[in-house]
Amino acid sequence: MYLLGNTYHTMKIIYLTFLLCVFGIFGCTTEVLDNERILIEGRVVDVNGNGLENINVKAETAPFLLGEGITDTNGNFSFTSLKTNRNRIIISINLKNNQIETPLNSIVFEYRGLEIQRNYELGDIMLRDTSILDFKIEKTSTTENTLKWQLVFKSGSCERNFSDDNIPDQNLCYEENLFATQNNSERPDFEQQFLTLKNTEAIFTYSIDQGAEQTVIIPINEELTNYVFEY
Amino acid sequence: MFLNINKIVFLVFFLCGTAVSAQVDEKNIEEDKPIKSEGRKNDNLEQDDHYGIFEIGPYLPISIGKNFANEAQDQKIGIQAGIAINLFNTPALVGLRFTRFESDVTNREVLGNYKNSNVSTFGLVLGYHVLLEPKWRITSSVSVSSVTYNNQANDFEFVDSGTSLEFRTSVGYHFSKIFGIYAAPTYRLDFLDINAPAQTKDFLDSASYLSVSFGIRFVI
Repeated sequence: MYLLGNTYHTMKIIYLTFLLCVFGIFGCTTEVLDNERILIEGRVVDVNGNGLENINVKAETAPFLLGEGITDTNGNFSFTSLKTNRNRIIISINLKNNQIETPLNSIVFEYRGLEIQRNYELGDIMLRDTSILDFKIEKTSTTENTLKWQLVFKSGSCERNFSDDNIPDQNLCYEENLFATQNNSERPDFEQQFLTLKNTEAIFTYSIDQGAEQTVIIPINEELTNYVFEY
Repeated sequence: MFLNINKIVFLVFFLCGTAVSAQVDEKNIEEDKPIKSEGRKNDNLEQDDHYGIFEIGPYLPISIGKNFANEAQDQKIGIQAGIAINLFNTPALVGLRFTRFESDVTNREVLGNYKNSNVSTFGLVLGYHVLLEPKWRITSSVSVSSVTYNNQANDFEFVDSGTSLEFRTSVGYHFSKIFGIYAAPTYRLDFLDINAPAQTKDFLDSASYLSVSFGIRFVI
């Protein structure tokens, strides 16, 4: 009886393992569908509503690039994309390999959980000027200090997620980013570049050795803003 | 468009070359008498002792019209092969035909992100065979085939499929009873069944070609 029960248990494990393997191999595979196309259209504009030329627009479902277009002189784009068996598609505007390199931001539309439509009319999509904040902290005093600080700045990225209808249920555009850390004798210096929006401000707040908090407003008006704080 | 002109020029030279070659060889054929021509009437196929025609040769697709094949793809020379048999000892023919060629995608914005298509058809042929004289034969045919565009990108493949309709006239010249050459201009329409928005459906759903195939033929 014990042996029979044990055999049944072993068979069950083998069966479940088999099912897991089958679903693991075939269940999660992204495939491009036969005889299917979708159309993606829209217009890319600047903050003044003028069309932006030569902006790339891509449609992807990981890991495949399904379609790609570029805006004309009026900022209009229209391109055909392939379709996969996943109910998910990401349409990215002005996405480059290195986000730091572009003066205009990128915008990502992500549709998931929806039946993929045949036609995505995205309307006017406004790109904003971005800026690089090259932020440095350098220790110049010879005494041992602890610097606690935080930097608040507008994010230069924009991501809109859709899951039910054409109203984004998550609109992560130009969010306020907060970066906080501390420097001391073990790690006296700091340097990092942050992508932010042009014509905004970054707020740097710090305290030395748990003293009173000080605030510095850093205007972001150029494509590259250098800021160095010495303590 | 430039490539299409090249193809048309190539086609004209080929047809001229075939005609000249046929005239040069005509004398030799008559001397060797390899073709049984005694008692044959031009329109009497009952006296022609063949049962089937097998043709194989290069296939030159020349896309025409406002459709994806002409405006977003560049066709390469492919291959066509077919076999047809006489139906109940009449000039009518029935057979099968296979065609395959490759197209490179030249405009991914209108087609989607893939790089080339292997286009193949396989289907039924209905034809009519006319003997102008012992050496010259004309075969007109209509074929209905299934067509598949096997589309390939760097990291995936998918298929567009549908039905192909082909109107073809083959002109053959025979060096002997069983062996000859042929050239066949063809008007071909591919009807694909692609689910696409109305704005692009007509453009993506059909392709038309004014093609030519040429090669060798065996009569058995």
